[in-house]
Amino acid sequence: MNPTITVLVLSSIGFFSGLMIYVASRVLPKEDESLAEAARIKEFLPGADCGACGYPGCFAYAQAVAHDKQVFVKTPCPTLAQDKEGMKRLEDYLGLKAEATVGKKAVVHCTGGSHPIAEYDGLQTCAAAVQLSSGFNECSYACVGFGDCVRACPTGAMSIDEERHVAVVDWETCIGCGLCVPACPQGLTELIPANTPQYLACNYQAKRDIPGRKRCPDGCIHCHICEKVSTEGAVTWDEKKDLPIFHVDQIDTAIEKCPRHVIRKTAAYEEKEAEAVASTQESG
Amino acid sequence: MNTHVLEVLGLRRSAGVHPPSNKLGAQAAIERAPLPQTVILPLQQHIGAPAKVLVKSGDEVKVGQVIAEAGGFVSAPIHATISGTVKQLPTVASSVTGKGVPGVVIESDGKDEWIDLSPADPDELSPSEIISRIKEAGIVGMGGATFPSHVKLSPPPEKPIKTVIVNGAECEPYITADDRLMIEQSERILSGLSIVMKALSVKRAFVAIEDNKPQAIARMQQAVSQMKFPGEVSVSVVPRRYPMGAEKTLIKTILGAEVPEGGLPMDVGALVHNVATLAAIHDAVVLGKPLVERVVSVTGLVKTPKNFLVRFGTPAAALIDLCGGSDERADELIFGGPMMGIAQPSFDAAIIKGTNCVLVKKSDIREEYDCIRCGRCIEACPMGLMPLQFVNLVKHEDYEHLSDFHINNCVECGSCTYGCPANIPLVSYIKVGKVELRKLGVK
Repeated sequence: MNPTITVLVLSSIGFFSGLMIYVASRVLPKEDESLAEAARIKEFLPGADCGACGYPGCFAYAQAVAHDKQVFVKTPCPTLAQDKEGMKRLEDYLGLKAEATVGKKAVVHCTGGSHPIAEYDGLQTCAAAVQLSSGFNECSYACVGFGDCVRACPTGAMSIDEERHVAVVDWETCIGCGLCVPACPQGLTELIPANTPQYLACNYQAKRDIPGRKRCPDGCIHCHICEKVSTEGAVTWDEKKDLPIFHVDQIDTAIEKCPRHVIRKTAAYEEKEAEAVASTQESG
Repeated sequence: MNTHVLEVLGLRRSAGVHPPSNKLGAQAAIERAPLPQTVILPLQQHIGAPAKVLVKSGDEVKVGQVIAEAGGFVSAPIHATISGTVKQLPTVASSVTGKGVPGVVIESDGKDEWIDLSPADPDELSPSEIISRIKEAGIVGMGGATFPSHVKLSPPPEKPIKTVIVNGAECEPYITADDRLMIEQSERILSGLSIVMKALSVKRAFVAIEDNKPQAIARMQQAVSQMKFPGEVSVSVVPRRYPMGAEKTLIKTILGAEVPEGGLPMDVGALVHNVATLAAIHDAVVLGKPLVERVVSVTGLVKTPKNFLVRFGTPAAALIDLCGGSDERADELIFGGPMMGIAQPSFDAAIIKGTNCVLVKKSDIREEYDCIRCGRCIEACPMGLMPLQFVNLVKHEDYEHLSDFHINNCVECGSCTYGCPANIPLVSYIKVGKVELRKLGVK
């Protein structure tokens, strides 16, 4: 075939296509401005795609904010809320002030005090280990320590205490996304409001006691003393589990009186303490 | 190796594996184990709803007395297995689900006093009376799955049972309880069979026995020819291959029919009962005796492997002592066979309705490697599944796609794990996958 024809045909196809693109760019509507806006908002977000906000990732959240800025005011990104400067930058950009919300943090209701009764050599995941008679520890509610929650955590806030074989949460890095809650087959992880000063580090349910499977030296003995010594409403009793539930009030006497010392202070407790000290110094 | 000629020529697919049978106690006659001092009876020894407790602490009970009634249709009552006093009503770990269920602890008075039994002539009972006697006796599938027997015997009218298969395959290595029962008490089993055939007016029955039990085959053939049945009964010798004793494999081998996904044997007009279950049905219907004891093989690394007639709630350690104690290498106790059995956390674990074997062994832990996609698990799977896909999906926590590969068809027989060159514990992954899939609510 004559090469001239080939060149001519290809060039004309190219020219025609170019023309069509030019026409399309003139005639068709412009790109959705909110998409570009969402892309700009996303720059301010942490980018962990953790889903704690309720949207399926950071870009989806940015899109929602680009559509309706009130989304940011009502439900600010919980991860960004940890970082005051980052929050300020996004607030400045949007020209809005987010409502102060109390975030959530994960706690693990176990101290890891119970000893193993049998050697477990099966699949090294919690989900597999608890299928054999609720784990291999003396306490059948105990953390088995294979770290299904550690693998679920997007920020690395969960870790396994090597000495006690129990999951621990670092409140500094925990963003309260709650991915660890369904990951725990023993149901030990729970999200509590970030201003709760204490939690119960035990999940031993007396009403479902298993003989030969004893509670550990740290375990709650269901004596109700925390409920008795605290102001009304600060501690309520979960009848189904036969365990106390603590609320936002600080319960120093209960922490002291607990015969098993199983009520653990959270980072919020220390913050409150520091604030109290600062205010007494000011007034003094 | 006992491979069919068609399999050698590649004309028939031979799913399953051939583990060494190790039937150590095959020549040991059944002995009655001494009565235990205390028994711990979990109120869930079956698949279905836990039984509801009827006694309280301090009550005097006799052997065979109902201590817990069935908690629903798919449930079974529990009877006292020794006479004495109810000590405690604690929660115990169910060996069926692993979770805590209510239990009853009875301390023996040493008298072994029975309740008054009401014998009956099965020829004079109507089918519904037979089924209600079986239900009251608390009989469950004693091959290990512990499915309440009266449920199997009450098919809906649109699914009539045409064939009864007596499961004497006992394909799991080590276990000899059913083998001994067939040799020593074939009349009891066959009497149970004729009761079941009468109750469902079935005209055809097969007694399936693997070809590695010549004594049992001879004994059963002889007994079948001597007894009268309401229909045609024949002994069917099946090839030795694991898992031949799995209900669905047995139906496929004998009837050539496949049970549909999510279906029951009654969907293909079949009913499979283990030999021990049929013997218990005989006791319940003819003698009025509830299910309080069973034959258990104690085998593996024990001095002399034996078969015992054991009351439920007896601790395994007591049986191991009767066999002259365990070898010093032994560090693992399994209820059931080596393929499907469940490891127990302590040697004091109690025998329940589904415990056919107490296997003492040395733990054999192998390092797990990555899947090399050799496909041996696919070849081994008796259900025609692709086990390696389940492992991949579970490892990636992609649980919702497990149902695309029909994970619920898996019978957890362990054939895939047995042959895996990478030592992947496939069944453990599949069990986790099934639990997670159920959490997602995908059927």
